[in-house]
Amino acid sequence: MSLSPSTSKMLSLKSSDGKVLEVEEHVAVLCETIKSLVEDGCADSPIPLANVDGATLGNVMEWCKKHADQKASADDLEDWDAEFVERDQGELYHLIMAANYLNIKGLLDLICQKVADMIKGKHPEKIREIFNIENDFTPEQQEQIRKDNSWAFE
Amino acid sequence: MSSTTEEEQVDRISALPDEILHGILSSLSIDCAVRTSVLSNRWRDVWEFTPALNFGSLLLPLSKPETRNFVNRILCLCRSPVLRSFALSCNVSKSYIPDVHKWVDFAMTRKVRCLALGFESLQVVVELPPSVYGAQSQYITCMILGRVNFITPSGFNGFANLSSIKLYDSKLTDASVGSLVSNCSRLNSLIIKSCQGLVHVKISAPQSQLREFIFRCKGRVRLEIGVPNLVLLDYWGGLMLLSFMNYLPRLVEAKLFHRWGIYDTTFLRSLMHEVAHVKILRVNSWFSKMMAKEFYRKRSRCTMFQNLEKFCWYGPLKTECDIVTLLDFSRDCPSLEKIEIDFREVLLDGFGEIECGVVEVGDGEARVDAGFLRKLRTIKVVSFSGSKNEMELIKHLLQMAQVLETLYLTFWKCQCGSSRNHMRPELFRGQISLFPRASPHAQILYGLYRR
Repeated sequence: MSLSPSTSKMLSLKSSDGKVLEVEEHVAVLCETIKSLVEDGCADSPIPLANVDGATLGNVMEWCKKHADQKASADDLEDWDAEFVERDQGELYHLIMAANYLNIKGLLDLICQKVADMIKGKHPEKIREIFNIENDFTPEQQEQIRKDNSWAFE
Repeated sequence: MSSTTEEEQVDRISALPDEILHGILSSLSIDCAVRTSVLSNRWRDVWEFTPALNFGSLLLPLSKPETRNFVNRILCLCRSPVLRSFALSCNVSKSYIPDVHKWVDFAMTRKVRCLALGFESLQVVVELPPSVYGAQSQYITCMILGRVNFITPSGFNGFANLSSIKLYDSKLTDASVGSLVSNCSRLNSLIIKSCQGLVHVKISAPQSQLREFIFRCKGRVRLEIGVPNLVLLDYWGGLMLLSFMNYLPRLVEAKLFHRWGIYDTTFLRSLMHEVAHVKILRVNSWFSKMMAKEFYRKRSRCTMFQNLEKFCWYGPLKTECDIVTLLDFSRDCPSLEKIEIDFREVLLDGFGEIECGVVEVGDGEARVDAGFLRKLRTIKVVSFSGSKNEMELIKHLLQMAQVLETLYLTFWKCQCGSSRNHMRPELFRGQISLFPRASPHAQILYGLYRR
């Protein structure tokens, strides 16, 4: 069965906070999780997505819609994606969890890359500061780890 | 939802499940990944389970014993049973090849999926260990190999899941390239750049899934192509040495650059027939010579490119013949929507980025009615120098393009500064704004080119 835009019907998705979103099927099936439901014929009633809140679901579907658009060129998508991930960490967190749960490889890779870029080339102290990571090592433990992996800290 | 101030104090990243953290660390170089171990207890051994070892960006100097110890130690600590990627680039001399082999063997036993090996060395081309072609190679989906000796052993059954391979600065044999294409049934993309050892390459397999083929090698290499599903062909070499064993019905994009040797325009004309159904065509100077000799000087038209939507020209406009040919050819392509021109002599990939400066919008009035280019919407010009021929071409394109939306005209930064510092963009702007336009709303974007 082909899922081309012309034949696409609407699917309704229900978020964890009870919001219902109507989405075109050819857009929603970018989520592998939804795709398998559709293929098994279990997608008639509103599909409950217990792990995704309404605001995040809206963002995820915005991404899917852009990426389901066959007319978008690769350059165009790249620029669009770069802007899409310009968000605060709270939103990025919800997006990455949703991408993982809904199994959208492209979106998951995109946000992982964004987070990796925030880590890249920075000192541990700086990384802790950016992400509010609490250092729960004792000074001795920390010294030991540094010593074990000293080659990585040079 | 939490408020913004609360948001700022929460440690979100440490709450992510391990598999996502692995995804994040996977795209970091290995030293960066290892350094996360001191962040907190949560992070202490996350990197050890990350299925990626990227030494690639480090260019390791193997002559130092501490470098070799560093790699050995990391491999020792790596606890991921499978590797999504293993990337290594190093300066290598003969004495350290056994170390390299040991590391590659390690990656192979961990069922590596993406293997990237690049060596820097003047003396040696690195032999790959036999494990690369062995049973574990069935897991490989992607390979990038630089400065290696890539020779498939006799009885090689192919990489069962290989989907893309790039070989550069390497030593190959005709048979190895042939066997890659005929034995790797999932191969989608094949890139061969600056490789040696090739004489007469035949890539042919009726069942081949190959969609993208890039071939750029110096030296006299005959190339015969017979893969029915090819979508993109990018060839750089002697065009007289290129031939097709069968029609390529799916071909969408052809980039054909002639780099050396004399050519026979009649031969090239028949070569053009084989790719006449493409939507995108990229060529350099041979094209206008062939077109002029085979068509326009005989006062005949070239109507074979009925599907062409995008035409890209690389190289300076040396003669008036170049201008006339480009204009005539554009007019002969009824589907043409986009023209891209790069006036530089040196051939570089792509068109880089365009930094837009001044915008000039059309005044809504069509001053000429000579629209022969009925679908052309975009013209992109890189490295515009304002020479007489270039101005002439622009003038005519503006006169002919009925529905033109945008003309990008970019000056190349490097040229502005040095040898061609006589170039004054604002002078050309004045002249160009006076050229009559067939399209009432065409805007012109002047910019600087950067890569």
